[in-house]
Amino acid sequence: MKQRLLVLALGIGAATSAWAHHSLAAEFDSKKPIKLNGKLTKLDWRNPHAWVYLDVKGADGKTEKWQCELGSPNAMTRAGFNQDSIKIGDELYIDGLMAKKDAKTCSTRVITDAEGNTLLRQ
Amino acid sequence: MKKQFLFALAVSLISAAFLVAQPPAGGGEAKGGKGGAPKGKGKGGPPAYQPPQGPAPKLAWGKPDFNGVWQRPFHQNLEQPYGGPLPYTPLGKKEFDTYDAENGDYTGSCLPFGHNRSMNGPDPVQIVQTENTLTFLYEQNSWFKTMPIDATLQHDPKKVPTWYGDSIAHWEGDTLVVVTKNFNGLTKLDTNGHPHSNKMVLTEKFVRTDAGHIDYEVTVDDPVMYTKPWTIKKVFTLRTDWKIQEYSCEENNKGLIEGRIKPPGYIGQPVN
Repeated sequence: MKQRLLVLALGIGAATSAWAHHSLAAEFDSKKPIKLNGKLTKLDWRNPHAWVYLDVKGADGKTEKWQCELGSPNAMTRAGFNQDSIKIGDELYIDGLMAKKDAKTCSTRVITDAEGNTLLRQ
Repeated sequence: MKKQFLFALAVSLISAAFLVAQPPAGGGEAKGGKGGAPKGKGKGGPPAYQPPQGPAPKLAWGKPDFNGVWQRPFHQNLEQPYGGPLPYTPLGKKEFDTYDAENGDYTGSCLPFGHNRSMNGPDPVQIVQTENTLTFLYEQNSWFKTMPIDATLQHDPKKVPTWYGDSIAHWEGDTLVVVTKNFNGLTKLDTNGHPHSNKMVLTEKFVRTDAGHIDYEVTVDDPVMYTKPWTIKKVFTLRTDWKIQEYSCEENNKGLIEGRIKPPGYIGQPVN
């Protein structure tokens, strides 16, 4: 299983989520998309945003601990994604946007599982 | 200004694309890319919802029934449903052009969004209606707003200005009209930061067109920020399959707790 981290310099325009309750720009950088691949260590399923915590193996082989914001549990549940959709130990791929201030913190756009199934898109 | 509108339109289209990409479409194929996820299919979302059909229901006293949980179209930028740049005054344009959510985001700080932003939200609102009261239960942050339905009442200019303003409803035939004044002026009209002043008057009109829908329009009249009143129209959809859920904004607002979101500078300061 490949576990690696890539910070992409692509300037994709995914600056806004269709159901973000406040401005994404207050916290995250739309010009810094990121792709992560790691194992889920914790799911914090609480409003206003759920968070996933991942162990990600960096390019140097060392494990980095990442945290990535999701939408509100309310909205995600309505969209068919709930706290049982992923479990501790799952290998996940995350497409997200880096936080402006903190390293190893991102906003999640897409979660994909090891088989390539899209679990969440926001 | 034209460039800004085109940018805003592009952002709105991107937002719409994300909305379309959400379940119940079932998600699209994951984009693998270098170091990305393996290819695969999306896991299905909930089944497609169909709102009730039939004529607009009425209550025992003969007026249209607006009770229920309603889904509203959400626009981060109100210029998108308006169809172009808003009619700014020079001050309004300056306020919009200089707005920077990174330098003080009141909604990210869990402060009240304000009525217009709560009515233009991605989360549902429940309307509770009696013969002489109208209540909005916004799921967003578990806020609410209640008002009388009484054409004989006038707004009291001596009331303390508030985040959601002072609302009075009345009937114009079968159209329910809500007029709101006396805002504190601390909120924005949308996520992108369109401004308003404490002189703003919001006029909303609700028409129950059939069993499953409301035609909604809101007119913003704020001579401080806009040269003329402007109106946006939307269609609300009744969601018989949804219930309003608890939504605590303060519970896990890590962006604020961990210092990535900056509260607005007026917190703890006199505003008048």
